[in-house]
Amino acid sequence: MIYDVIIVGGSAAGISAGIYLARQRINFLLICEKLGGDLPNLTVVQNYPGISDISGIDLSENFKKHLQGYNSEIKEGISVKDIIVQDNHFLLKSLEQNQEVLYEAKSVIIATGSKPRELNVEGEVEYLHKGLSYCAICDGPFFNNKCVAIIGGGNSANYAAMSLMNIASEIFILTDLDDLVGEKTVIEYLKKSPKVKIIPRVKIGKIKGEKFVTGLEYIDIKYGIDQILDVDGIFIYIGMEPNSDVFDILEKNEKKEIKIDKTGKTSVPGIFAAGDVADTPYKQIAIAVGSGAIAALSAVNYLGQNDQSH
Amino acid sequence: MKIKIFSSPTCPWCQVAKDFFKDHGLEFEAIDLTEDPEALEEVIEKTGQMGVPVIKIDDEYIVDFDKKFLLKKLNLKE
Repeated sequence: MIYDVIIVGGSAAGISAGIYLARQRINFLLICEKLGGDLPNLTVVQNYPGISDISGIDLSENFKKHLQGYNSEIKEGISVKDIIVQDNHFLLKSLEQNQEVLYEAKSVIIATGSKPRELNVEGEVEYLHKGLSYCAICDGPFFNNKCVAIIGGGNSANYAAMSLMNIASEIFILTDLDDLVGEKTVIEYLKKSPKVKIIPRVKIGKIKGEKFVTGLEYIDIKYGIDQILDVDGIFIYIGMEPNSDVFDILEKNEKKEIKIDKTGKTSVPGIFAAGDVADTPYKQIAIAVGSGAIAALSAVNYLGQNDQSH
Repeated sequence: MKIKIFSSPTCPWCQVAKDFFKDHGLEFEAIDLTEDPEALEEVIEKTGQMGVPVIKIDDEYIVDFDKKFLLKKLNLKE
């Protein structure tokens, strides 16, 4: 089966692209690891036009139901390992139950989003879910009356600290910056709390533990002094990075985001990108939805120019 | 078949997991780990980790919500 379009990714941008393609009656397939992506991880969304207040779970469900209403072909649990250009077609390679599977399409929309950036220090992989987490709202309750550290000094780190305020006994926020950055009201609240201690200008060296996390080692950048902090839990919030590793045939910027023009075109004709994986400046649901629509319409346009049957 | 879902009140994937079982008409016992220290110890001891949701089906503990895995394990359709 050769699809007209394959969408890779099932979050806001991918679903939006799917809805636009479905309404154009384009023969398409959406493949993704999880339909809805990481939208359910958002506690609340209050900036999506027309919906003043909604949980990430409910918004994700609404998006999914809208797309599924068009009887679209969707395959979940699939991660693309490679993309190959063959004549005017594209082959997407995935590994399913240890078997290599190929999907073929005339055009591709990449909407694989982004993932939390890792620290890349010793102990990070070993202690994941053993006291180390990238999701404070998910795993925070395990640290009732315990001492925790948050790595990062931006909005997401600050919000993570807020979510742990009524759970943890003590919260350390460690950042490589001179001070916390982000929404002023949140920062002021954190600084007033006797539970919170901010440790600026640090570089994390190692996550320590036995069966579970027992602490971390860091370097005070200003004075070059090695320090040890004993904590029961560590939450990492040092930003996001695009899920673009397997798309090496495409031009990317220094952040590894796929370069696109204003129509969603990448450096390879026939391949479009949308949402957080692309080099659009602001990572927002509304922007991902819009860029998914642009990519879909551009793909339709591309098919029309390259195939007289459309 | 006895199903338990160990969760926390703010964990989004716990809610997704509960909805999954509800949608398929499967009864389950929901356990809030923030209010049940014994269950919390049980989860840590049996799974060796501190992430939720944890789904217990009979004697098997399943960490995280994996829809595809559960559909196959329970012989369900989407």
